[in-house]
Parts: sequence; structure tokens; C-alpha cells
Amino acid sequence: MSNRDSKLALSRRMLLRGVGGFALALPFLPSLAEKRAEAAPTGARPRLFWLGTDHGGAFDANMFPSDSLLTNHAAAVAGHTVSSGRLAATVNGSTSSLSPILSASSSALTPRLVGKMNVIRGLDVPFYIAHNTGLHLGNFARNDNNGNDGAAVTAMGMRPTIDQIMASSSSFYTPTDLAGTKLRAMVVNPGRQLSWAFANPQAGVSSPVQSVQGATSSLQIFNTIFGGSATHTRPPVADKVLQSYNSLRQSNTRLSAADRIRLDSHIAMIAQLQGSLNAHLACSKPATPTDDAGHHQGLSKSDGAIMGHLWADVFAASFACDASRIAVYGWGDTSSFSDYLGNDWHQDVAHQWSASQPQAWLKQSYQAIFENVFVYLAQKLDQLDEGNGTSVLDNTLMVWSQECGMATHDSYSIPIVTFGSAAGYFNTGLYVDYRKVGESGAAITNGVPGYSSNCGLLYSQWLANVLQAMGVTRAEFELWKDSQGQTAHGYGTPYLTAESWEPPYVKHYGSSTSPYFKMASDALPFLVA
Amino acid sequence: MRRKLDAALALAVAIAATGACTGSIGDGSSPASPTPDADAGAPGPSDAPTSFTCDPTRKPPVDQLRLLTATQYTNTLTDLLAWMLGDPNGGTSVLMGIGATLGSLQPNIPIVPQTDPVMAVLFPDGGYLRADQDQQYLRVQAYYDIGVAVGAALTAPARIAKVVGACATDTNAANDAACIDAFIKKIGPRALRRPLGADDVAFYTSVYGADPKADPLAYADVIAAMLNAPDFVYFVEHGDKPVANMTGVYALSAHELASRLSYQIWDTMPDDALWSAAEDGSLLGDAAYAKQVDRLFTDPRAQKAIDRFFVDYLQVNATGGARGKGGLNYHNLAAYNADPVFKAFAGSDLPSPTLSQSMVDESIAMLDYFVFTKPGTVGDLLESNASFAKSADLAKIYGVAPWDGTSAPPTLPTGQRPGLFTRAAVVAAGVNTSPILKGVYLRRYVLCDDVGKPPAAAANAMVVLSTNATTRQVVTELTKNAPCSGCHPTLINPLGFATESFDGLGRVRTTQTLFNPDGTVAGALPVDTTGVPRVKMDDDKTNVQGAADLMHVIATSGKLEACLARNYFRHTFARFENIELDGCTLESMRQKLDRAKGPGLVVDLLKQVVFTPAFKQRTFE
Repeated sequence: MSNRDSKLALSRRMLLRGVGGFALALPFLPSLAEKRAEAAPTGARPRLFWLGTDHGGAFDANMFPSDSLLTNHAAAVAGHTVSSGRLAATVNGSTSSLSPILSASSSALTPRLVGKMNVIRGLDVPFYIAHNTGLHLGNFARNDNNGNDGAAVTAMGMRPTIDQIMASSSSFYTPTDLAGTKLRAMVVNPGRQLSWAFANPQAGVSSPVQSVQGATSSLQIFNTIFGGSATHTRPPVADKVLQSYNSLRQSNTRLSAADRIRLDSHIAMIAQLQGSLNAHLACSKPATPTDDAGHHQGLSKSDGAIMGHLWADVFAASFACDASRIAVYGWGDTSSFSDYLGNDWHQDVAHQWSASQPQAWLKQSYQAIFENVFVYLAQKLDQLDEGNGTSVLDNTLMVWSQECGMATHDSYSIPIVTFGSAAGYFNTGLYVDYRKVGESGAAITNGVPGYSSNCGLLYSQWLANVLQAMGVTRAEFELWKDSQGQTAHGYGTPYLTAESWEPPYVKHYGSSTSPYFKMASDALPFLVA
Repeated sequence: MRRKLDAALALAVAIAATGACTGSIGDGSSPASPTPDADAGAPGPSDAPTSFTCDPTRKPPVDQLRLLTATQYTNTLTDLLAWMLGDPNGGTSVLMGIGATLGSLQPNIPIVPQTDPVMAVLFPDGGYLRADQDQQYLRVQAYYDIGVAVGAALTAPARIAKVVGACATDTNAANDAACIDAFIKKIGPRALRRPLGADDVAFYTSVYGADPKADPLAYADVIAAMLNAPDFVYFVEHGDKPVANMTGVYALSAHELASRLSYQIWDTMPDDALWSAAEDGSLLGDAAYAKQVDRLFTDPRAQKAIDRFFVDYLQVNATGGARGKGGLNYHNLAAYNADPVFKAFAGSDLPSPTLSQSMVDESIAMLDYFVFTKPGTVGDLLESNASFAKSADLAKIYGVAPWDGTSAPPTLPTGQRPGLFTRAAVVAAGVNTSPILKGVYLRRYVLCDDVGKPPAAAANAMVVLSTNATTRQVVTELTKNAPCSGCHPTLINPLGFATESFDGLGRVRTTQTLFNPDGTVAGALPVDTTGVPRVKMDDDKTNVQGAADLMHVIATSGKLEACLARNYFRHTFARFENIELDGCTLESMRQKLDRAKGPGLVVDLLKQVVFTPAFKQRTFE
């Protein structure tokens, strides 16, 4: 694609921005918070930000709002009633709280922001995968194999994660979108790798799945997106680089089949790079940050917050400019946000989640990352006016997920916290509980005296809802078959536990072809507008 | 998130610490795979072979296009630019100038050299950098940015005449076309590491553009295109002559072989001498090839490249010791200094920030010594009493004078700290000596046995130090019942107990001091290092009294020889071995370590691999 072509492909919205001087006068860092008043965007495109943290294991009462909020009810499937209610924060002094963990300064977690938030309870991954990095975004094969379920799911094959499905989706990134896209996905993993992709997206399921190594330098990502503004008198040499790979791939010289697959993968990446080089920012370059997240280790609360803020600034600027509309932040463990001073957070705290002091540290660390990273970015995005009365946050879906559910190693009730409606796709301001509360003979216990919970709906349904919120069609993500050879719905691996000691998933979900699995691409109750 | 004091490591500890195993004894083979993905769900435990069966009718698995590692890429750039500039320091100078751009190159993620999905999934640190063959967009973008930046730097007014020639800057338009042609024909072969064909010349001429007018920007584009070519960032191999009776297997061309050799031994492109041997075809002759191998091994670059293997093998490529980050343990010892128990335990040996690295350096120095300085055997690696500790704090822990690096190394008391696997890099892990982790480490990475995966329920088990029991006693109690009892008492714990004669800083001890949580001493109990380690997992009832016995049993078992061959294979070929299909290669490597068949020198193993057919040939189908 030539520069001339891509200019022609600019959307009205982009042109308005340029003309209007939104010139992403997006004053960077402190002043990034200033609202932009220019431009009048139409048809705002959804963006996705995903924060994944380790472990889970927060007590329900620490994580979720009061059940008293759950005043609305509906049937998810026959006999399975789910509930929802409006979120309402309690303000105590200068702290606004939905739960002990979902608390922040009242100046940050304002009623406006709470109204753009959702808290989702009762999403299950109905098999044992214990420690994993693949649950968050749907590559369940990436688990510790520390059990028969994990090994079985791994044997069923790796899946690209939903962020990468989006990145290669022509629905999410239309040709018009790509004319202004500098980097399809900002994958960041200073702490944990969460993303996988088809090596060659065009080959679909016949392609190998590869890890996506994330960046650790926020400055590098900034420069990737906002750098390269120099005037070029010659066409990008990327065109010729691509030609050289195509020439080798199509030549009659001896290559193995594996060689060709690798070449296809590289060609796809060069083509993506070529598109990026030809793309035109819908804003002018913000001031280059003076600090880099890569220079911070996140070894303390303050340093962790600084690192989170530096990344948030880049995400916000990129989203505001539509220069990238996907960000995945694999934070890893949250130990630095706690008072724990030992060196073995995993054993001393995460594995001891049910004891009082470790639970207190978990609660403290989750609250801190919620406030310092998640709410911080939400605020920032909400202060960026799209020009039509909506904010960038409104058109974004921010998701915070955890590696495990309500007990370390277990994957029932994976807590999901969101901000933004994904351009109006999701209702917001809700606390939603998908559990089949009180299901006879199907109580989940976790060793904590008096604890009892229930199964709910599939986490894979949540992932499928996110994909559709982003405009990705079912045909683009329902790429695999279930155990009966039918199209598998939802996103992830359609599997039901084979471990007899697991929570009563089988009692609740029946089989991997039950209605729960069959409806796993359908809209989740209450959430979908 | 603590990236350096990464709790990821702690997680590794947790999982490995509960490394009880389930399943039945398998055949010890591993599928051929560039990454551990294909190994997921592998059965275990299984006793590793001490030799390999060579079936010359079996051909190695199909090869795939391999990427240069980040190190190889950087080295190649440095050397190519130096050659282009005719200045040994020229490459470094250019790259320093584009430092910020170069900094965008993604580092490789080490791939765990074991059929160990747990480690591979969560803790990619610890393993072979060369095995990281996933293609990354950010890396592709970095290649591009670097290529463009280098092109611009080399065609800046101060350099273009040197790089291209005076014809690029003179005012004679008549020589412009010839100038371009000469430049492409001069630089192209060395950048692409193969002769250019007419189509190549035409292609790079087209990169320059239709107008031959001297233009630095056009030359910059040609350079950028070459530095992004498949032949530059990958090992593009087409093979030459078919190998008899091996359908789909071809001998490498002289230039392909020169590249393999150079990157194997130096981690960079062929130098002038090797290039000449490829150009005139002499490299395909056995004598000339052997001569080049010897020459390359005597170059200082060989030690640097082989040290990268050692670092990967010991899993010390990140913070930590031999069982370092992502391996089986994490022990950035200074990180424990605030802990009252550790503080009391360490006493006057409270670690400096550099102590852990000194421990790593000592282990690498030992390997270097027995490869380059005084070639030794696996027996030397397992039983040497020489100290290679250069730092004062580590030497104090060993009770010897620091080694100056050139004289004969100081000698430790006979049998006290024999060989590589009793050194601080391996045994120092904090107050908790972690016998389980030591045992799993030896089982997996020294003996190459598969201990299988821990049962799901084991992950919450913790070794909590006691005020009235030794670590051994705590571990024994913790693992005495099913499912842990399936493997721990027989296959894991005894290997770790044998080195309980070293405390968590690597100091020799006969008693274990027990501490209260506030750091006060609760008591002391004698350590017990005896046991039946079952170095051969099948029916080995050999008793050992301690570390010296254990290392001797390993030294005479033949297992380290086979294991080292397997590990060097992984490093060399950037994939896991297939015991059946790669049997000939593995056995020829192993035999170089077999003291019954020859000198058994480790350096000979490192050289042997480049003489194997697998190295000199490629399987296409």
C-alpha cells in the first residue's frame, strides 16, 4: 500500500481530528488528563485493555460487593437464575468502596466512574488448571499441567488468545482502521506472558500457535507508535523486504514444509509492519515521555505505581489516537503492592490464601493495583473526550482478571472487573452474579470453615462476549470443534473436568455439550445492551 | 510485581518443591520439538539412557528455518559493519550510535531443556536461548528499525565513501551504475552469507531504484534491505547434494556449512578465512574442515559462545544460581538479608549484592578451566577439588584463598566439595537448603531422568523449617505419604540429602543450626547425608555417605556423559532430541566423553557435534 492510498483511506473521524488540531495535542503525562474538545468523532471504535494478575484467592467478601445489591433476576438457562444490581460505592472519609478490594480514593473512584464499571461473579473455567498464564485470554492449554485436566486441555492444543484474534480480525481492524493503526496490539509483560497468536493468522487453525513476547519498555512502544515522523522521500524499504521473503517463499529452491510455514509467518509480520509504516496517525505526536517503565523494577508500592502509570500513559495516548486499540498487561504477582517482606510470595501468601495474614496481604495488594493501575487508567481514559459526548473510556473495555478464582489453584468464580462499555456494547454500573446460588447438591467448598458457593456460567462465554463487543464475528473466533464434531461455542477449550475431586462442575454443567456450552457465544445476561 | 525478586521464581519453587511424581516409568525419549509445547503431558518418571542406539538408516527429523538469536544477530551486525568499514571497532561504533534503536531488539526467552511443561509454561527462564524460535512481531520490527538506522549511519557523509567507495561521492555520473553494482556484489555475499546470483543483484539494484544517480538514501535502503533479508536473520539452507539412501536429506553447501560452523562455535558470521574456505569449496574436504574447527576453537570467541551454553545449561542466565531463576530455585541471596533468621544464619557471611554472581562465575570458571585451560573429563567436573572462586567473599565461604584466574587454582580438602554440583552456585539457596530442589535438579539436569509431573494436590505442600528437626527430617516427614511417597523417598530426596553437608550459603557443616522465627538459635542437630540415591533409577541400591560418594557414583554411572550430550545437542540444534532419530548423533557425541573409549575430554564433545552428519546435512522431508 502506498502512502497515497492510505491517505485516501483515512476516515472522516481521522480527518476531523487532524484538521481540528486534536493534533493529539494530547499533552503527555501530567497534562494528558486534559480533555480534548476538538473533533467530532463518529462511529467510535472499541478498544480493549486487559490487566492480568497472578493468583486470585481473595475471599469473596473481600472481592465482591454486597449481595444486597443483587435485586434483579433472570434465567440464564432453565432453572438457573442469575442476579444483578446497580453498583453503589460507600464513601468513608476519602475512600470510596464497593468492596474491600474495589476501593480507591473518592476523588478517583467517583460515582461517574462507578457508573462505568462492572463487577462480574460466577464465571467458571470448569476444570483444574491451577497455575496458568493462559486462562485470562483464552489459551487454557498454557497451564501448569499439574493435574490430569491441565494435561488434557494442553493436549487439545494451544489457542491464540482473544487479543490476538482481535488483532488479526478484519472486523476489529478494518482497512480503514488500519490506515491509522501503528501497532495492532500493545502486549506488555514485565511480569507474565499472557498472549499467543497464530504464527500465520491467514492460515487459521492450521497455523502453529506462537507466544507473543511482550515489551518491557514503555518508551519502546511509544516510539513504535508515535516515532518515525520524519519525512521520507523514498517509499519504505519494507516493500522490498516483503518482496524478498515472498520471492524466497515462492521460489523453486529446496525448502522443507516447516521452512515454508516459518516464512509465511515472517511474511505476515512484515506485511503488518508495512501497513504500520504506511499508517497515518490521527493525531500529532505527543511529547516523548521522560521516563520509561523499563527502568523500573516494581519492587515497591511506589515503584510499582510509577511503572503502571508510565504504561497507562502510553495506552491512553494510543487509544485516544486509535493508533493501537488493544493493550494487554501481564502484570504478574502483586506482591510489591503489599507489606509482605519475605521472598516467597507464592508459597507464603498465595498458597496460604485462606489464612488471615496472607489473605490480608492479598487483599491489600489487589486493592492497591486496582487503585494505582486500573482506576488510574480508567480515570485517564474517562478524561479523554471523544468529541461527541463520550469519553475514550466509554468506547473502551477495560478488564482486570486473575489467574485463579476464589481459592488459589481453583478456577471457579474468576473475578472480573471492568470499566467502559466497549462503545455501548455492554451495560455498565452493574454487579452481576451468574452463580446458580443454592443449587442442590452442587455446593463448592474450599476448606475455609463455613464457605459455600456455586457454579455459574462459563468463562469462555465471557471471552466470546468480549470478542463480539469488539466487533469480532463468530465466524472469526468459533474456529474449533467440540467433542461431537460440532462448532465449539464460546472462546477457549470446551472441556469439563475429569477430576473427581474438583468442584461439582459436572453436576452443574452436565457435559461439554450441555446448554451451557452450546450458548457460550450468546450474550451474557444483564451485560449486553 | 517483583521482576528481579520475581515471585515467579517462588512459584517455580513451589511447584518443583512439591515435585512428587506420578505415572509409570517410560522410555526416556523426548519428541523432537523446538519448544516444549509438544512435550506437554509427557509421562514420567523414566530412567535416562547411558548410551544411545545408532540406526544409520534413520534420518533426523525435518529441519525448520532457524532464526539467529539476539546475541548472534548483534554479533553478526557488529562483525559485518566492522568488515564493511575496514575497522575492527567500526561495528561497535555504529551500533553505539544507534543504541536506542538496537535496544528495541527483543531478547530471547530461554527454553527449558526438559520435557517439563510446568517450567516451560510459567517460567521460560532457564534453558537454551537458541531454542527460542518463536517469531515475534516486535523483533521483526526491530530488525527493520535497526536495518534502516544502520543504513542511515553507514551512508552518512563521514562514512559513505568508506563503505561504498569514492564513486558514491564523486561528481562523475558515469560511474554511478557501476558503483551500485560493485557495492551490491561486494557487500551482498557477506551480508547474506552466500554467493549472489544475477537475480539477487537485480533485486538489490531495484531496491536502489531506477535512477543510478549517487544517492546516500538509496544506498541506505540497499543496506537496510540486506539486513532484513531472510538470509541475514535466518539460517536459510537449501542443501547441495542428496545424501545416499536418505530420501529428503541433503548435504549442506560449503557456505551453509561455514555459517553453521561459525555460529555454532562463535555465535557470529564466518570470518575471512572461513569464508575463503567456503568460497573455494575446500571446507567440504575433511582435513580442511577439521583445520577450521580447530582454528575456530582456539579463538577467544569460542569461549564466549561456549560460556553461553554453560550459562544456559546451569540455568544461571538470570538472577540466581545454578538452580536460578526459572530453573528449580531462586537464590538471589542478598535479597534475604533483611530476614532475621537469614541474618542470624549468615553471620559474618551476610551476602554482598555480588555474591550470587560470584558463585555463578565460579562454576563457569570451572567449566572453562576443564575445557580450555586444562582439558578434563566428566570425572573432573564431578570430582575436582580445585576452587575457582575469585571473589574474597566466596573464597572465604570455601575456606581457601581467592583464585587469581591464571595460576593453578587453590585446592579444597579432598572429598569435601567435589566437582561442579557441590559448589555454592548449586547448593546455596538461603536458610532452607531445599533438598527436594537439589534432588530434582540433579535428577533432571545432571542425570536427564524424567521425574514426571507433581500430582495436583502436592502444590500446596511446603517445607517449613523446624525449630527441632533438620531440613532432612522435615522433608522426610512431608513426603512420606502418598502421593509424594511415589517418588520422593527413592528418586528425589536422597539426591538432595547427600549435599546437606553444605548449609544454605554453601558453607561446610556437620550440624544444622535451628532458628526461631526471631533469629535466635533454637538448637542444633547433626546433618545426615547418607542414603540410596538410585542414580540409576531401575534397581540401583548403592549407598552413599555424602556428596563425595554421590558424585563418584554419578561419575561412574555414565549418565552425565549421556545427559551432557543431550544438552549440548539441544543447544546446538535448537530443539529437543529424538532419541531414536537422533541416536547416531547423540551416541557419537556421548562416546567422546566415554573414558573407556578414549580420553573422554569435555572439549572433544563440544567439538564432535560439528563432525556429525546431522550438523553437516539437513533433512527437508
